[in-house]
Amino acid sequence: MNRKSVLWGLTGVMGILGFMFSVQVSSRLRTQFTPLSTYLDLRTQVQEQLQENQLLMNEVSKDRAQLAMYQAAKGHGGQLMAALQQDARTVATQAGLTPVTGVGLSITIQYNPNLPYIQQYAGLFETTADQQLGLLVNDLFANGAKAISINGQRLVTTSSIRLVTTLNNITALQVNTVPITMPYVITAVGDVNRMQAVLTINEVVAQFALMQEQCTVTSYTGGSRSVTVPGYNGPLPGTWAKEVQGQ
Amino acid sequence: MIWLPVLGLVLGAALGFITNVTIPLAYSSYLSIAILAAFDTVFGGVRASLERKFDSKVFVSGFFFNTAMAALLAYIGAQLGVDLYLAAVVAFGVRVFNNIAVIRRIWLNRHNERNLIREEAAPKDGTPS
Repeated sequence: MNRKSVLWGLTGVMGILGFMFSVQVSSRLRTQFTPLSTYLDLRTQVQEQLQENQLLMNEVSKDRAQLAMYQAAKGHGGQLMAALQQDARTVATQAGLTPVTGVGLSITIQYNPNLPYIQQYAGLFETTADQQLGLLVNDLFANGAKAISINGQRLVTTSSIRLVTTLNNITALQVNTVPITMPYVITAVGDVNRMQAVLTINEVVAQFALMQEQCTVTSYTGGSRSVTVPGYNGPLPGTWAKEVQGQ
Repeated sequence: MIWLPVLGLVLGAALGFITNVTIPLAYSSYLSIAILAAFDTVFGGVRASLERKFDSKVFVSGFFFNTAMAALLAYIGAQLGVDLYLAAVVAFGVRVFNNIAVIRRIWLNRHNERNLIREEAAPKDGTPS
């Protein structure tokens, strides 16, 4: 038996054994601490998950309450929407934004040189056309007229009837800032009898005749004889308004 | 020269700690049973050396073969659901303690023989030899 080979063999084996032993010990030491840290990490994670779960549950509760509120208001929302749409239609009608068709009058004013010339009133209409038409539509509005237009321009609360002289000395009548020319056709929807009555009492046709303006009143009393007043299509109050930013 | 295996043991242990090599916890039991087999081989080798029957080839091959087989049997037992690990622990434990007991007995016998020889070699009148 070679003693040297025995020693070296035993040394090698002991070295390997020591290596295995140290590896095992270090692995055991590490795994002894690992479960502790893993346990702490796990406990921390569980606590975090519990807190997150609580927050999510609160959000779910809020969302469910909001959903229940929406579902409860669902039926009423449809009625509310219908009511609001009806209100919108009513407001649009009252504001004159929609055409109106029905019984009414049509008054046509046209210069007629064949009418008797009266010096006191001759040419008066040309200089006071806005006032004359203003008085006429006011009388109609005050006596049964629901909607009135002049040459297709619907009269609303912001409408204007102006006699405007341009730079080249041409005088023109403007309704809703839109120039109109003769014949002036006033269309009115409403109570025909009352409007006819006021025209008769005020002797409108005769008054215009004095100014050599032929005033023709035509009645539309329903059925196939009806009159239509167009809706207002000009700018509305607030059209050009802008929302103030940064306040 | 007996310090050389001890030095190898220390160097191997130091290398294991320095390199900081670790194995997963799942394979820790296999390494532990392999270490137990290695202890059995080492103590068996020491016993064989004391009995003057030591063979380095048998020792080295036995070391590697026993450790590998012990780990393999433990692994197979784990896969089969049979605790061959415990069987190996019992078997190697018995062998290790048996070898240790034999080694201790051999050392005691040698010690006794040495003392006996000294006593026989010592002069009976009490003068030092």
